[in-house]
Amino acid sequence: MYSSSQRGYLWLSLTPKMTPLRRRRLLEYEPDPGRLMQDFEACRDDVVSLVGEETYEELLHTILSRKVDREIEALQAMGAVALTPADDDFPSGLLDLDQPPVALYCKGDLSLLLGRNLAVVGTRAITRYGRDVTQNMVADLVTHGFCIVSGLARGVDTVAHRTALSYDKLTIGVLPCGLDKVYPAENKDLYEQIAAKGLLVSEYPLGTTVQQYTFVERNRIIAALAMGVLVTEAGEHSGAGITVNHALEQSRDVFVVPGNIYSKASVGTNNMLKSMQGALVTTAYDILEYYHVAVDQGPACDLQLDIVETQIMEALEEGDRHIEELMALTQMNVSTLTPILTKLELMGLVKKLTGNYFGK
Amino acid sequence: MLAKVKSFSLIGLAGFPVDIEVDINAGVPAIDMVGMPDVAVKEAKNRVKSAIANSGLLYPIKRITVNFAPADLRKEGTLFDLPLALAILCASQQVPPSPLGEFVLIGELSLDGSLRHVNGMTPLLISGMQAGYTKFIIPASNAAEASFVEGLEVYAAKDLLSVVNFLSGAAPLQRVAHSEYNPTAGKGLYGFDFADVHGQAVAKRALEIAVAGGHNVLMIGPPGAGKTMLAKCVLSIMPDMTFDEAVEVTKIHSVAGLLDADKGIVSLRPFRSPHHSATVPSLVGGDRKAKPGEVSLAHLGVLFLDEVPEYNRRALEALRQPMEDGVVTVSRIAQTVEYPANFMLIGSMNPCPCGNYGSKVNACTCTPVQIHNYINRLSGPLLDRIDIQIEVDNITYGEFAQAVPAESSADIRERVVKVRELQRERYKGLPMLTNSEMSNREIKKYCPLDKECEQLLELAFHKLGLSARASYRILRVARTIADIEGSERIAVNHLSEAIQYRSLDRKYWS
Repeated sequence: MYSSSQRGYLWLSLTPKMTPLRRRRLLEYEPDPGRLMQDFEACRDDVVSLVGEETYEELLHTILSRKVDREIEALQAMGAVALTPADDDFPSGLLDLDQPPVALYCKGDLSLLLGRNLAVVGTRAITRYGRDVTQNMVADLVTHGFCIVSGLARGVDTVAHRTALSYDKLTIGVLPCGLDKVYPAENKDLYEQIAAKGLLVSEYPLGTTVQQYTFVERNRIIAALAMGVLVTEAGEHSGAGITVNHALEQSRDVFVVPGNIYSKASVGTNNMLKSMQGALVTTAYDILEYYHVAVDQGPACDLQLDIVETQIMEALEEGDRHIEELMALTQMNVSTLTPILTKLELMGLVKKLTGNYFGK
Repeated sequence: MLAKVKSFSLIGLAGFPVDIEVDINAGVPAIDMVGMPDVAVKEAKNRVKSAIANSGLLYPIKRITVNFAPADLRKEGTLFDLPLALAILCASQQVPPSPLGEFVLIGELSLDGSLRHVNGMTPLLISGMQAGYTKFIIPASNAAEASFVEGLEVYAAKDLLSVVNFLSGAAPLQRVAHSEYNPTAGKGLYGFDFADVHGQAVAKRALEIAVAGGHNVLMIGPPGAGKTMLAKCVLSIMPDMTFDEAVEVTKIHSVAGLLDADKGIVSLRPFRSPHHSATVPSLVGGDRKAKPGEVSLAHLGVLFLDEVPEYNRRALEALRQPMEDGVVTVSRIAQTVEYPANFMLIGSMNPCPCGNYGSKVNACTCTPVQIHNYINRLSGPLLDRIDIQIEVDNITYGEFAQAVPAESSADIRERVVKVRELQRERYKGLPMLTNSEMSNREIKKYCPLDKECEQLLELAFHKLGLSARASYRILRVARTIADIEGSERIAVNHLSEAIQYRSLDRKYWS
């Protein structure tokens, strides 16, 4: 059951044209929106002077059309809940925001909101470098107890979520639309997996479609839900920059992975590092160390590699190698070398990359 | 007076005898044709009239009735000009009925009386021979083609007059001498040799395996990586065609009018690369005349589809049936024609629409949906028939050129021939020649795996995210690799290598 003030917050959330400014004015006038909702028509003149005639009508219409009840029913039907500032478990980070959301619609494991969360964000146009960095860092972070917060967008977000799930670890997805919408559409399976194993959150009521501004607003929630933000790859105009600014405003930690200075896909991250040298991280262990997390070395390595395998692994230490380089190095031909590479690949030591390249 | 002359016509590659009966009576001068002649046959009357007159002979100014028997089959083409002319000349008593009745006549006439080339001579002669006919008179330009059909008495004539002189005993006609088929005549004529391809070791090895085991190949790589060059080299490592194979290919090319008249036989394996705007009929055959399509023209050779995803989806799906059966059935209104279509498919494609997917420096501008849609234009059932998927890259090999020079195609072909021989022995009595044709039952029989191999395969599925349908293809390729290495059983290293040739199956693609 939702209390009167919870319903009041939902009322504000569900009313169109409620800009953050109007919301704040109303909440300053009456801190408990539940009470305002109950004798709304009595306060007509005050409300009109605060937010205008039109918004007053909208607010009134939301009450009269019983929108709040219908939203609550729809949420229950899909197994979701709405948290409001009136709830005890409303994430405290969100209240510190300049423009705090009046509701957080959640589907999944609510306890994750209180866990050790780290946001991983970055470009949508991910390159192989960004993919490798994101995969490797997220793997180390989730195995050391961090829960990954990200935005379910293409590129870094998707890789971060998927990597966390592939290790059977939890992850929080912050949507730029209502919980009943999936964006981008190809991430439908990811959306369902996170809803089942992790947590999906959104500040927008059901049915809200993505708008340009929702992506921007969503980023402040990503930053607020996490103790720090890790940017793995970002181009010049990446939305990750917005998330980082929010993180700085909310005094969250920022970690940035440097990139190739010639790569357009890394201009954003490299520029961030110019102004925040302290944010530079090159491995997940930098972050673990910062948070004083004991590093789990894992079981001792007892893999027995023969001479050729060792030779290959040493060559790959220095960077990705083309198969012909490895052939020249080992003096082997394709038919003798590929079985060895398959073996190393299955042992998880080598990765087959596109274009006949192999890497670690 | 009545005259009767024998000729032959084709439905697809199968010939059937046609009797041309001419009756000349008194009446208004005219010529009537019956027996389902098509337009080209009906027009013969004008050509025949001029040819007879211009040969210094007499065209009868009487009522002429022509019947093409059997009357219920449609007669097509221009090859009835010569028999029609002689039937008229015989009926008007300018040529004696004997020995005319012993011969099968085939040829198109020019207005000046000279004989012109006819398409489909090889299948015509072969089906004539099978029907028990041995004596033929054909145009001189078809002589080379006819010379490869043994056991026939074939006379090649330049013009109508020399045929008339021959039949009336006035002058002899040159008999076509038999030519021996020389499979090596075209050796080195493919023009592309693996020795000229620098680097690309993986692609070369994969293509060797593909040819040895008859597997279809998909090459994935950016534009300019040399996919077309590699595909063209494939011909040079294929075994020489046997005489029977050469005749089979010649028949199809002859019907399609693509045969080199001077050579008379196709001794080089065909390489067909239809443009990606190709329609379904142009690929599998058809249109009004039930002509052979690209799949049949590539019979026993290579069908190269550059930029496979760009092809019409329906055209690609139409390839499935010929790939499965080795023959293609072309249906028309009146009849169904079957053409052989046993080809090796080599496809090439970019890794994604922009070509930069997986590039080390350039960012790929394609969305995952775009890449997904691009790859998905190749349907599962089509990919199921492609055993080997390899990546071809366009890096410069100067940096790590090997001291060992590249192997020549001739050396590779020697190995291929041996492996093909091995497979022929193994599948004796079965309707198959290569490992790629193994069905599930044969895979169970010929590809037993020991425990270690089973574990490897199991691990590969989990670790590399291979799809389940990949397993049979991996086993077929592993069988071929084991054959190349001369191993009775499939060992771990054979299987491990085969796993590397499944690039597109991996989940992390897109």
